[in-house]
Amino acid sequence: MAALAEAKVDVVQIDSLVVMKIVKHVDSEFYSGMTEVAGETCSGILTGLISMEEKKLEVTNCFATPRSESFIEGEETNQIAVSQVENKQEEVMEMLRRFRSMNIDYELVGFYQAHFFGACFTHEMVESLVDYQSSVQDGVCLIYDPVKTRQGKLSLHAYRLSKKALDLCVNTDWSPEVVKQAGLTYETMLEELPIVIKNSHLMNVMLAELALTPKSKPGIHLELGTRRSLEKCLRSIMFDIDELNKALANYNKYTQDKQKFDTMYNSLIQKRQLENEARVARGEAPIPLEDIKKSVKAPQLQTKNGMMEIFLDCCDTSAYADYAAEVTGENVAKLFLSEAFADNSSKDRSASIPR
Amino acid sequence: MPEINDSFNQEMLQMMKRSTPSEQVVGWFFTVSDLTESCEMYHDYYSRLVSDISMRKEQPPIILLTMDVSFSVENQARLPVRAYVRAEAGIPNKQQNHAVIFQPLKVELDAFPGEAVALGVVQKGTDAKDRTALLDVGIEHLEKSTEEMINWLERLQTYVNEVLKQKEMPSDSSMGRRLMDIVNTANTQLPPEKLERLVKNSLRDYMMISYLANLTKTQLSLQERMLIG
Repeated sequence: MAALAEAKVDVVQIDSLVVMKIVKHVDSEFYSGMTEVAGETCSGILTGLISMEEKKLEVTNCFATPRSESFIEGEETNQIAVSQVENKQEEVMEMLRRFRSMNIDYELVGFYQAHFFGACFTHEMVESLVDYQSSVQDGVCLIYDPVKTRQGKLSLHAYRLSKKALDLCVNTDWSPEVVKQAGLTYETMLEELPIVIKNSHLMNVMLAELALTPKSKPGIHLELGTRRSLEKCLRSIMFDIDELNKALANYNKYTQDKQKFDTMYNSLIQKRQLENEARVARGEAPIPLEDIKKSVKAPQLQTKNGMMEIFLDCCDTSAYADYAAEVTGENVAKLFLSEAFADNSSKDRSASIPR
Repeated sequence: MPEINDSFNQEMLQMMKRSTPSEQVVGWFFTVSDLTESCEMYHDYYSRLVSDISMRKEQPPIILLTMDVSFSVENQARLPVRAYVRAEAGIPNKQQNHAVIFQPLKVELDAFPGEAVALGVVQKGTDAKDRTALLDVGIEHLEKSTEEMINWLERLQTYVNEVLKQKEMPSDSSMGRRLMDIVNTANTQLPPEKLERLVKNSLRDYMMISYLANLTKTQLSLQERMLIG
């Protein structure tokens, strides 16, 4: 397999049209309560062009992809799944052809997905990224968080797999030794790219027009009531940490087993060699070493995809923790602000008053 | 008269129904400065399209949206967007209506809460020279709004001081009434004791969450060092 070229862009420049389209698609589904259908969240494809001299990836348009319809449990579920996957790919190609006939940029540059709290790191996402990055070396994945945006701050991140991670994925080998050799951690597995939003002149006119109409609620991000989403976030952190602990226990057991196995193997080999020398001294043929290898089995890490599960869980947990830390920081600041409005408040923070 | 590609439209419709099932077709748009005769035929085609897919017996009315991208009308300060609904017209008391009028409608812009936020971010690009905007990081957003609030409060303060300096009440008492409303709601909805209670309890909760989040991150980074080393 040919070596994959390294991605060269440093910045992702998104047209404001794409931002609004993504927000609209996800928010309208969110509003009608349909964010997750058959286990998949809202997603779509990004199109645009790559500008080599300025080292940036311009995303100029996007479209939503249909999710698999929830199928009834029955005999032909396997066939339905396969045909759905094929249908999806066909639809994407069709759409790109239509874009071309409409004079819109039709080069596929990545995909977008919506996830609560920005915790998007699943096996399927990594697989899709591998697909995109192998065909378009600068493919990215845009993750949009509707919860955070509702609370007042647009949350859009662009990720792509680092070169080392991409190599490992292509070889589909995630055993601990290979990962250690590549020096990969969960932080270096995915790279985040900075995002810049750009408007066209016509867009500017419309935005100026919008600025003239009165805004309904200017201070959404000043509201204090974010408790429920924080609870959900914490619950997800706990769930992830449980999984992570299980995976770590597995890994520890694996390393211990491996050590025992290694010492045992080495001692067996040494004994054989001694025997062989003795035999050679006596003039007989030495016993081959291969049957030792066959008799003893090397231990294996008990998860599929080896270390990748652990890494993905780490990334997820880290995203949740980021969200929680940021939101609490802001809320504490808001509380202090509101305190400044009330006079005669005692600054005694030691006791909490029962409700 | 250019033709409409029907199969294209049908395919796009199917795609849209599958990817965003919560959305429906409500009309069509045309980038032209003034309505022409072909609009009538297109409108017919599109209303047929919509009534084919809708389940109701009668045809729902569909909208025609026009936007003049050439800005042909001079001295206009606003964006030339107009909306029309088609209605039949004719001489009253006759059997058949022989004309069709496109009635103009009032255009208002609205947004979902998430969209409003995204719009705010995108709007910052209107001031920049190269029309770009970066996303906010961390607490900058809060900082800016606090500065804005301070500005507004200062202006209110100067206004109140001026009114107090004058000997008579200003003729328009609406400002004063609004200020009274604000102060009243603040007092009744958020009396000092309630605020104190809110602050103290929430503060400890947030401290705990922040501590836990940082603990998680430290554990993750420690674990990484152990796995690698």
